Amino acid sequence: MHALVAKQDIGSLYASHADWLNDWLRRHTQCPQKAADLTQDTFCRLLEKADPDPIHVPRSYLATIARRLIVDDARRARVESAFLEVNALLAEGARQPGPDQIAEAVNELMAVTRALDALPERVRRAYLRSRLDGCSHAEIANELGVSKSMVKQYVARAYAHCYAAAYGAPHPD
Amino acid sequence: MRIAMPQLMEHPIPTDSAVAAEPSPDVIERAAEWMSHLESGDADDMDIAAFEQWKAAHPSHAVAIERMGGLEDRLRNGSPASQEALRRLYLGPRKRMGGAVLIVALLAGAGWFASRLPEVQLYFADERTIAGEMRDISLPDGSRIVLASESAADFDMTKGRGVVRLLRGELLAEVAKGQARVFLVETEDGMAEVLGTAFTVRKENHSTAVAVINSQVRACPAPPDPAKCITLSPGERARIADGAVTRLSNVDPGNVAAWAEGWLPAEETPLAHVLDELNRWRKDPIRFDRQDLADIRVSGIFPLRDTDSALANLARSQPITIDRRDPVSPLVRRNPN
Repeated sequence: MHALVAKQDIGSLYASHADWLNDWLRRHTQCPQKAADLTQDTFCRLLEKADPDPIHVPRSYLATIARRLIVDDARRARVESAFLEVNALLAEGARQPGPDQIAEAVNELMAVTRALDALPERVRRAYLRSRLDGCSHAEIANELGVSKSMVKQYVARAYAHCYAAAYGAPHPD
Repeated sequence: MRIAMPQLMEHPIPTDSAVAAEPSPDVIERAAEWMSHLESGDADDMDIAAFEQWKAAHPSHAVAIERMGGLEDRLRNGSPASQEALRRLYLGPRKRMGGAVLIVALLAGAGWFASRLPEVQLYFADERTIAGEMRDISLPDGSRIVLASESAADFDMTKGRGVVRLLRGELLAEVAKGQARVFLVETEDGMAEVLGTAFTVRKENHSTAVAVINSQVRACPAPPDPAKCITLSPGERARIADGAVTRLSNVDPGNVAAWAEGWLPAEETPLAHVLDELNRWRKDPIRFDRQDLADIRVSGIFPLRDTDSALANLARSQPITIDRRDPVSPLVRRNPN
C-alpha cells in the first residue's frame, strides 16, 4: 500500500528536503536566485497536485519535478526572447504589446512548444512547414527526402499528439 | 505521455452522458489519419464520402474530428508575431539578422538545362535537389548551406577547412562568423574565398559571377593564379571565365540571396528574364517567345514556391495572356495592340 502525500506531509517533506533541493538546484542552474525560486515552485507543484502520485523516494521525486521546472524555465526564456525579438522587428514604429499581452502570448506559446518539443524532429518539421509556411505534403516530402505517404503519417502523428497534449487523452507518445 | 496544456483545457469534464462520446485512443488515431489524408491533396470524392460516413458512425468520431479542427484553428489564427516566433524557434528566422553570418551564393554548371558533368557524378553528390526543391543543410561548424532548385554539391569539411564544390545549380552559404579557418566555394571555373564577411557567387554558361553582400571576398580563376585574383567589396561583382576575373556592374546586396527565402525580386527587369528565373523552379517550363515579350519590363517580388501564382500576378499587371490549354506548361503571349 502506497502512502499518499497529504498536505501536512508536504510540510514535513519541505522541512526535511528543502535545503537539499535548493543545493541540488544551485548545482543544476548555477544561479542561487533561480535555485531559490525553483525550490519554492517545486513544492507549489506538489501542493497543486489534486491527485498526488505515491512517493517512494522523496528526493528523487522532488528532483524529477525540479528538472521539469528547469527545462520549462529555459523554454520560457527561449520563447520570450523569440517573441520579443519578432515584435521588435514586426512592429517598427507601431504599438508594442503591453506586459499582459506579452504574458498571455508567451503562455500560449509555452503550451504549444511543450507539445511540439515532444515530437520527433521530422514530424515536427513536417507539421510546422505545413502550418506556418503553407507547404504542401509534396513540398515537405521533397524537403525531407521522404515519400509523400511518409509525410502523411508524420502529419497524422502530429495531429494525434496535439490532441493528446490538449485533451490529455491517452496516447502512446 | 500526458502534457499539461492549461491554455487549452477548456473542454468540460465529461458527464455520464458524454462519456460515450469521449474518443478512445483508436478513434483519435483514426481521426488524425483522416485529417492528414484530407489535407494531403490525395483525397478524392470517394474518400470524402467515406470520411463523412466514418464521422457519422459514432458520436466520439465527430468529437475527435471537431477537437482536432479546433486546435488547428488555434494555431492558424495565432497572431503573426506568435507564428513568426514559433517559426524562429523551430524552422529558423525568415529574415536574416545582420552581421551574424557570412553569405555566399553560387550559380554554377553549364546553365540550368545542360551540365557537362556526367549524370553519375551528380547522382553520387553529397546533396542534390530536384526542380522546385530547396534544401537547407547545416554543416558541423555551424555554417548553413541552402541548395537551390536542381542543384548538386559536395562538401569537404575536414579540420580547419571548409570546401563546398558546387556541381550544378546554385547555393547560398551562410558561413559561421569568427571561424579561424578557410571557407571557400568552388566551381569548375574558379573559386570564391571568404575573407571575413559576406558575399555571393553566380555562375552562368561557362562562367561564374561573384557578388559581395558585405565585407571582402577574393575571387580567383581556375587554375589558381594569385596574380589574377580580385578582391571585392560590398555591392561589387566580378565574372570568372576562361582563367580570368573581370569586374561587373554593382548590385543591390539585399536582392542577391532573396531566392533562399523563396522570393524573386525584380526592378524594371525584362519579363523574359523573370520567366527564365521562374522556370528554374519548375519541372515543366512556362513557354514564351522572347522576341514577342522583348519590350515588357516588370517590377515586383514573385514567389518561387508558387510560380503559377507569380504568373497569374504578372498577367494581371502586364499586357499578356496566359494560355493554359497545356495545364502544366502554360504559354505566355503578348496581347495584340
